[in-house]
Amino acid sequence: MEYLTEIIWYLSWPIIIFISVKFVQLNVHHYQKMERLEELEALYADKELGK
Amino acid sequence: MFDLLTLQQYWWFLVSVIGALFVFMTFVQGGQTLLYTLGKTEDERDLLINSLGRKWELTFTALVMFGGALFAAFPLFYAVSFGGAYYVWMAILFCFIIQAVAYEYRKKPNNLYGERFYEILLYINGSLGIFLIGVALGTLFSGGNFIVNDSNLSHWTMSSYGLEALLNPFNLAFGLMLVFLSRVQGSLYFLNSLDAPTITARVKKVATVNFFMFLVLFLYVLATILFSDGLRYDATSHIVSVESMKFLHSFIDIPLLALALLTGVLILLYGVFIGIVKGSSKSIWFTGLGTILSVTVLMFILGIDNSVYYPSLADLQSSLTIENSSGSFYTLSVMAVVSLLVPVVLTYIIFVWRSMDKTKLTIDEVKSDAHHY
Repeated sequence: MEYLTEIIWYLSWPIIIFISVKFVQLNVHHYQKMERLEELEALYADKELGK
Repeated sequence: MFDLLTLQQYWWFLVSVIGALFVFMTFVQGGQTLLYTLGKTEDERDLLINSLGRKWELTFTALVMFGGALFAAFPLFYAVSFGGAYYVWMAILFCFIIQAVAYEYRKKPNNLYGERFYEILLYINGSLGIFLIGVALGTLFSGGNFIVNDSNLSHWTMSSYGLEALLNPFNLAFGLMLVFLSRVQGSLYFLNSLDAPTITARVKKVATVNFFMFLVLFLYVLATILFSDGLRYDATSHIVSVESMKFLHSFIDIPLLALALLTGVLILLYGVFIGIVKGSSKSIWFTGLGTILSVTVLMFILGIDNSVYYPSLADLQSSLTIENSSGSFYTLSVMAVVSLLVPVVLTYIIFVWRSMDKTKLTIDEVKSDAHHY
């Protein structure tokens, strides 16, 4: 049990890496949705002007 | 949480990994030295520079992270080396300032000096900059001329302030080894990132020549590290003494590290093989992984098994170890928690990289971009 803290610390790294990847994926996905929203807004604004 | 020694080892491991990432990323500098070897027309050189230009900031970031981690975790090393080997570090700094200037100003309208001037700056950064960094890293094995007193104040004993390292053949070989490694990786990176058959056709010859130069130097450096005298400190009294073949003993004591080094070298050789023989665009990933693994091990072994990671040539007992040069327990503990964010940063870098390299770069794409390098 001498190295218990160290073992827990190093074994937690795969979980930390997994959470980091999921976080970045979520963030990128959200950014893509916002970009699409801006495109749709611009399209809508053009249509409104066309009226 | 941890005891102090575990934190010191953890931070030395992080420093080793970041240093290894930097060495891999020096493919940018290697590529900069190949502009006139691989690019024969202005369009081809534009393409090469723009391919590298998308990545140069990542290399710079890795270098800053490496220096920053050393500063935060092992401040005495930072004080001794950056203050003492002053001329070498200042020369490195200037070599990297001119890189940033070259990328930003090469294509600016009404460019007073001409593109060629900035291409020469890129060449200096890629050759002299990496060579000097190699010399500085070599001194981690060969030592520096410094004294540290009981108040942790350091003094460099040579008036050449670090330039004397250039007289040591091991340091020179270490520097040149990194230059040739970066040139091999740079050429293999172009295989991966460019859609330009005329350029990639020239890669095979360039990578072969540079690889054999690297291999000779690497074998010399590795043999010197393994079979030369090294320094070991006593775990309780902290007295430093000379030990014959110290690092060979360390690899025998910790076979896992020897296995990791061997694996790293084999992966690197495989990457070079598939790059040169098959022209595989994936070769850079294998050479990169091999480089990261090998450099991590070679750096890490300096800090563990009671090794000295910065020997003093002026006073043996002033030599730096991870135990006598680290930050406090509190500093290292807080930073260990903060280091949990490192994977987030690295994942963003990977995503950005993938997004930039989704398709191979062509000259038409470079020309159509009004803000290209």
